[in-house]
Amino acid sequence: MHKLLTNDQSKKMMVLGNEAIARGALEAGLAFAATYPGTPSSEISLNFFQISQESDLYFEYSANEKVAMEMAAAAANSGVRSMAIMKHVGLNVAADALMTLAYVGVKAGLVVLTADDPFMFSSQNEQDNRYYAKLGGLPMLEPSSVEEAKEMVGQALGISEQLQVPVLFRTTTRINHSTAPVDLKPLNIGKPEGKFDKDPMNYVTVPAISRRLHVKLLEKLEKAKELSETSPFNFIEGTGKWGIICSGVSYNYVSDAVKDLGIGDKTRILRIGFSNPLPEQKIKAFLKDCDQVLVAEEGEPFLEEAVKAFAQEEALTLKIKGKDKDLFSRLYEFNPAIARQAMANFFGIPYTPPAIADTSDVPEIPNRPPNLCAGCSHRATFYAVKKAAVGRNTIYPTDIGCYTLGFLPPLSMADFLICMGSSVGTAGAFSKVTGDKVISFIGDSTFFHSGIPGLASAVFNNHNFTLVILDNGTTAMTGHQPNPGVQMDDWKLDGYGRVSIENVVRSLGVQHVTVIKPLKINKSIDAIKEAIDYQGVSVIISEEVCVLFAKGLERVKKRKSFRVTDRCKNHQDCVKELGCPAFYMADDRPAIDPVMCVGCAVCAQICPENAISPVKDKA
Amino acid sequence: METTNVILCGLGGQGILFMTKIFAHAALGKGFNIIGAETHGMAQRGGSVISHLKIGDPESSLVRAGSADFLVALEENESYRNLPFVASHARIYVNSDSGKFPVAQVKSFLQAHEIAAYAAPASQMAGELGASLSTNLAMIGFYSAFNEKPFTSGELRETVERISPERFRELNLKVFDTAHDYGKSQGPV
Repeated sequence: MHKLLTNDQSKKMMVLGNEAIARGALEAGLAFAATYPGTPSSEISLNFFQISQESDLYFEYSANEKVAMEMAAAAANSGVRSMAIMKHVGLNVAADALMTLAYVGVKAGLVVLTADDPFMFSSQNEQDNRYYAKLGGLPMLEPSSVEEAKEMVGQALGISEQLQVPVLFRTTTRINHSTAPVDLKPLNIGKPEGKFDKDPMNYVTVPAISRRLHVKLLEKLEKAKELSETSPFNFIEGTGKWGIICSGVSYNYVSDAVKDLGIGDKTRILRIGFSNPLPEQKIKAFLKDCDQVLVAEEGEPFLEEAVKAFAQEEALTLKIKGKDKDLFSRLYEFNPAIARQAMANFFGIPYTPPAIADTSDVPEIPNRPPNLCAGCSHRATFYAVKKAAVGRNTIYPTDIGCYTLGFLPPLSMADFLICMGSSVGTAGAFSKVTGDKVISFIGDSTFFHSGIPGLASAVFNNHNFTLVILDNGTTAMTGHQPNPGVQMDDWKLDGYGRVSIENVVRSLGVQHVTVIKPLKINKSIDAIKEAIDYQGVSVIISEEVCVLFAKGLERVKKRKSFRVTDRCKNHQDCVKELGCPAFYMADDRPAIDPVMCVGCAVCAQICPENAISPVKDKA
Repeated sequence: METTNVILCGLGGQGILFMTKIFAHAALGKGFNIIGAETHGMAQRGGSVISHLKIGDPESSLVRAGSADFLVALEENESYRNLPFVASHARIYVNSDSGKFPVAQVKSFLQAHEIAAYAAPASQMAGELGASLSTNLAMIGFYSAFNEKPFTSGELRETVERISPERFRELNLKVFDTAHDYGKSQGPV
């Protein structure tokens, strides 16, 4: 049984923030969930995926976040409690659906989870999705801890149902990926069975209807404001005159700092957990009880600007600050030291931060970014493309997935990236305006997510570039989730369809399509040369299962690891051109760590001395 | 109770998350509160990985610079990288197969801050037991020999036994015990 399906409530359970959110929703009647995976949200849906296999919960990996949002919208409007789960930038993709779903509303609770990523641990930007709540006119809740996240997500479903509007639930990485003990309540998984009552005058958003629906949304927002005013998620601690308004994980740093600085008798903290609409009266009253107020929030000055506007309405002139060069930054995530220093600066408390150990004598450790795995087929594809394109001026737009890691030397196979699908969308323009040979890279899952429209557009507009689709049979970077192109036998599940990438590409009208096996280096180079010689849109589909994923697959045979033999004359092509982490230098010569090597044999194929051979079986 | 701050570090794929889990479950077993902050997402792709653990009565999950009571590193260079987290008079436990740990400059740093360093060839030990991917368990076993608060080695061992997947349980315990016994005979470097 899945551990989150236990009904033993006698003891606390140690869970990851994302597990707490999953369990909280399942205790609150969730029946339907859809997602496109994205860190830091991925474990919520991974747990739902597993749980759906042994309970009534309906769960699906949709092709992208917009589809996930639409699925949840339809389920919730058929009376089924639903969730759509995504990372912050995923909400950009789903926003088209959400902004008008706000008008249409819901019948049963619908929570839209957005997992923001301050500091960009695994994202391309650190946008602050609280503004989506304002933009859409949607209630928003934000937890400060793992335990609160579990409680709050259930409340969010209830508030959504009560107000008949989707509720945004915003987390940050420090909630999603923190571990803490939580109390369990009885499970209450709903049945994904509903009924759709036709009501086109409220559901079909032609202009005349939307004009009326917008009025309804504003009425709902007024009701939401009343809930926010009395919500236990907006609470005050302390009775001092030094005000601190905070939300999310900042509240924890502030609480620790108040203790450390010994200013508990002077401070008054307003923790905002129901952050749209804000509890206007509560904030105004709070301001009147304070003689200065510091706003502690990661990201943009969302609370700060609102609080200043409330102060203006009350003609209050107390000092209110948040984002300032001596206080808090709009950049990155906070930590306890940042909060302590900002509070000391703002309230004028003498404070010397503990001296940070002077490590200037310690040799500088180079940054160690994540790397393509030993034996990753993307490395082979990148190498083959590089060889095939020798002598040409090339531009390599890339996309979002493990293969983005190919941007570092020695591969250096990425020149441009802005979002999911941009490898395809930007390719035509680079080619048109520069005349360079453009070779784009996109993964299988990203292709289904948002690569297909770009390719259709390119065929129609007769662009000239080569698209390399790196099909490794899974959505690898986020933890091996399925996508529409995978064989679900690999997950030991039936009842799924499967979409052939090759068929999609051909039916979009691409004339030059080649499928390669990238671990066969020379054949691959030849095929890629032909593709890039082709005038027009050509597609290479590079098929090889992800090495990490393959470890759990019976269908993939284990290969022998390789070793560098005495024939080695130390050209070091293997090390310098591939950058495979299984290699290390032993006495100035390349050697292979047999534990890391998975036997892809790419190095053996490029060694000019033929000096890399499989490890012999032990006698 | 007083809060114990712990830093676990190493490389993606070495099993830092499982180590974190062992601490978390050990804490839960004793009824301690614990907050851990982990690196996920790219965690299996060989990059630097760090886990912050606070056991006791913490509000926030991140360990402040200069405040870690001890550090366990699965890789030598990552222990150097994370030295700023370590408090004076604290301890660091480092996996080092090279036998060259610590380099001279680090040694003088450790002396200046009165930080005791203990090293074990944990990858080698795990490899010799046929568990080359269990450096993490070897390091837990090794560090458990030094009576760090708040867990006894018995409690850590029991946790490993309890949360290891069945097919790895016996081997995990063997790695733990071997490294623990090795630790018993080791002093600071």
